[in-house]
Amino acid sequence: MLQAIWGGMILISIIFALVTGRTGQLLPGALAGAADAVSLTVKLLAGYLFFCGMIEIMKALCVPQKLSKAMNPLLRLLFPSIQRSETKEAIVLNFSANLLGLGNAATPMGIAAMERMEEERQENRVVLHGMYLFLVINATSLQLLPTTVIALRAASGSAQPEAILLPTLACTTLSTLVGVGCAFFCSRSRRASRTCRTALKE
Amino acid sequence: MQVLQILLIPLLLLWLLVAAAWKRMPVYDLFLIGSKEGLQVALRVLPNLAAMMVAIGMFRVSGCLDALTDLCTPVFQGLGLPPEIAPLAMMRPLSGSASLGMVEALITRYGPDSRVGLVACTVMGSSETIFYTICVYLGAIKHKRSGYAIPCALLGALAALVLAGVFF
Repeated sequence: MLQAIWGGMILISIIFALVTGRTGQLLPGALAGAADAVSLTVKLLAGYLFFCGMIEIMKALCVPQKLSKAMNPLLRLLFPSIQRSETKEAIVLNFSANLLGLGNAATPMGIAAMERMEEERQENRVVLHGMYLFLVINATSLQLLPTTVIALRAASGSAQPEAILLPTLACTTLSTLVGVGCAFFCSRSRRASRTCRTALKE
Repeated sequence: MQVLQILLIPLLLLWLLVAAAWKRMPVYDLFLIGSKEGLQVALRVLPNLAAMMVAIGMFRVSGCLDALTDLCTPVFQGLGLPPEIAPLAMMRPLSGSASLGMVEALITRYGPDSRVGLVACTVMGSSETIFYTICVYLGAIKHKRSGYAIPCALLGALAALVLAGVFF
């Protein structure tokens, strides 16, 4: 997918430049982009060094595990069709890693959760809706502290790097609520239409 | 609100350090371990950033970026959002590196504390690379169909985008 986006952007740029007669600026533009990537990495590096260091202390305090335990009641509400405890554990660990911004830990846990749900789906078809809901929750962002953005703002000379903290939190919450709401609506209407079809057949 | 916002991170750090000291943890060594990991993360993302920012650089100088922004202006003004963030909003669900590069460009041009900068940062921080995330998880179990997951996630992102414009 990234191949297509990347190639497509460059292709469109070249065609557009040919039409508008700006081909001479393409190479300087490309190199300026690479130079920007270097300066951006330097800006981000400061943030990564600081936040990753602090996050390591948080991990040593077992904060992700404690958060997972606190989320268990919520899980019963969101994923009623999932029975096995190991599946539930993988889901909550993925969620808590995402909330704390531990992307590296969240992905393998999420893959494990998807694999276990796929196993359960062989016995109970309704689990498919749990899988979709899990994807929606992961794709609508859960991260509580936008560390990368705050670091970037600080490195760019912002007077108040943390000015976006509460607005970001509100937006993340809203996007997840809207996503989950839509997913619930879709699963209800799908199941309703399936029962309707089977009733008609009989 | 403002006070809470300023105090949040310092209080979090205070709690972290006090709790770690209480349990007699080697905080300094832990910080170094995490920091080393952070260094590797930064080095790992550099090639991705470079690839995407080269494409964005060419996209900008060819005039495509401005044309795209102009095209989206009526829609974004209707939603109460600065039209300058239109390309970012479109790129965000597709690529994290590309959208981060766009945020950087917007911040450099308009300033981190301008309305454009604040909205761009909020959009960046509150959303996820929808298509990539769903691809990774479905790819891992070799499941082909994403059902209603992508439209639902996109609707959520759209709601957050509109809300970001309300705050600033």
